Amino acid sequence: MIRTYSSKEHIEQLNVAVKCENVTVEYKGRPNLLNINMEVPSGVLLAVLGPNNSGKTTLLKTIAGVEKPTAGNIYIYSRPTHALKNDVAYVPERNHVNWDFPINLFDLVLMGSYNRLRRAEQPHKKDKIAVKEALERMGLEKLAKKSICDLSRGEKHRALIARALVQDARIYIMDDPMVAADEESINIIVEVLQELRAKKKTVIVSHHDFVTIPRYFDMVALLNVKLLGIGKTEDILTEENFEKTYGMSAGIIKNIRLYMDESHDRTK
Amino acid sequence: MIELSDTFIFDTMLKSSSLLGLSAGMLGVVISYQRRSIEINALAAGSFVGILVFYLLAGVGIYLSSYFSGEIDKYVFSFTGSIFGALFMIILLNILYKTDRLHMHIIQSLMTAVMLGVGITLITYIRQTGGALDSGIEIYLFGETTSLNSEEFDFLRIIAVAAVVLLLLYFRRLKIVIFNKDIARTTHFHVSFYYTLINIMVICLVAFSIKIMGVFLTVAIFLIPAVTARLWSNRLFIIMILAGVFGAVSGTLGTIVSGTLGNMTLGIAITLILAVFFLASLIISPYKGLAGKLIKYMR
Repeated sequence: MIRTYSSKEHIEQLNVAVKCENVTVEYKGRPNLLNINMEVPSGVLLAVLGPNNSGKTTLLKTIAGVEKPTAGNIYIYSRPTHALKNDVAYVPERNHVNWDFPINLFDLVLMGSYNRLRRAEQPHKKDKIAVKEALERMGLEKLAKKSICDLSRGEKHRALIARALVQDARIYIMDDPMVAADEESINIIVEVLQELRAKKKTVIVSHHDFVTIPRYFDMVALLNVKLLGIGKTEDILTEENFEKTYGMSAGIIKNIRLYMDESHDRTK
Repeated sequence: MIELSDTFIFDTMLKSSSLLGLSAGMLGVVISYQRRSIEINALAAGSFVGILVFYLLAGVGIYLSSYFSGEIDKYVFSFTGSIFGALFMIILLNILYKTDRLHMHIIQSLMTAVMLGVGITLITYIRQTGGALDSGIEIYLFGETTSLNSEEFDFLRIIAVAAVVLLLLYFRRLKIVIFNKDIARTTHFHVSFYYTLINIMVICLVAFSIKIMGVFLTVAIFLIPAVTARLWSNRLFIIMILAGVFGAVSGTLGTIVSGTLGNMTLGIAITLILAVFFLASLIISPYKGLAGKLIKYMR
């Protein structure tokens, strides 16, 4: 189903990459997500924050089309998720991947080109070039022949993102892409996220490190089964919102504010 | 020992075992990376019970056919029973997985034990009451060198070749589906279609395997080639081809050993050959071989 709009409305809709309308996802009768209404503009870096079991992974999977909402609708560039073709690249959480799988890094990254290939069609030269470029961008070119089980934690994160880069989608959805990664990997991943934004791609990331959020992300969504707030980072990261989401003391937010002020001074 | 007059039967069995070894070995690689290894045991046990239930139904059928002066082929009953038994088991397992009460490996082991218990009870009952039907049911325990007739061989040939062709044709898509379902879904592959395809191949091959390998050793022809091949390579495609080769060679050699010795059932002979391949690979394989590791350690 493709929605039609008046020209003004249509232009507005084109600027909305992801739209959730009353989205509820239930598991065994218990809601993982309840009545989520949000719009993510095109070309932004959005961090999804929330405590454990708040539904972050469920939200990302539902937007990516991996899980179906129990109720409500999700539109990607004003099209329903089941009508998508190559619009969304999904990076699963590192722990949700079978790293004993017998493939090397090159093969893993090459999987990003599979949706462009027919059943028995072999990958083309341009696909292999795209893999080499993605590996170089993620700083993994020397490890191309290495078995994926021999990669470090940070390299595994980078490998999954490299696969998504080869997919060349309009929206990138990443589940905890920096958790427990080394500093070198985090720096590379952040650079890549910013390059994606520069290319007008939309990136939605679940993230845990509160301190780095203002530095890395344009927008924040606070989630605890319900959507508690979404907007510009500086508007959403308030003590009140934090207490609502995490139920914890406002001390943390003061530290983040302090950090934001310091980094603001440094840029000046 | 197989006599010269039985050359046709021996030839049929030789081809059957090697085709089964080839296709089950290749499919076993997919199954093992889906973490469904123990499920093969449960499917074989379900298939075993299915055969025995259909044997009992065949008894009624034979009684009726003699009444109406018609003929009913016992093999058709046993094969249909085998397919239905495995299908019933796969449906039951999937229902139990969705309940999320127990880990899938516990469910698989539990259902294997329950079905074997039911099967042994039924086989005892058939032996006590079956009369003419009693003959031939032992082959489902450990396999038999003369277990398949030419019609069954023709059917096995179609199934095995189809399985190998489908595995090669859909190799790339199956690879992404068994690597990570979520990535496969966002790549817009129909994950449920590929799962169904794998399940159909498994059910059909288990139904034949139970006659050649027997209920207890069916798992061996699916998994030992896959594990052995893993010791030789880190690439999925090479592992799949090697597993097929190990399975086919073991099937061929196992049939020759079983046919020559006469007192060794086919399932046991094939499993022993597979075990020899596995142990040799464990020692001499370049990647994970014990000998290589020992030499490295000594240096």
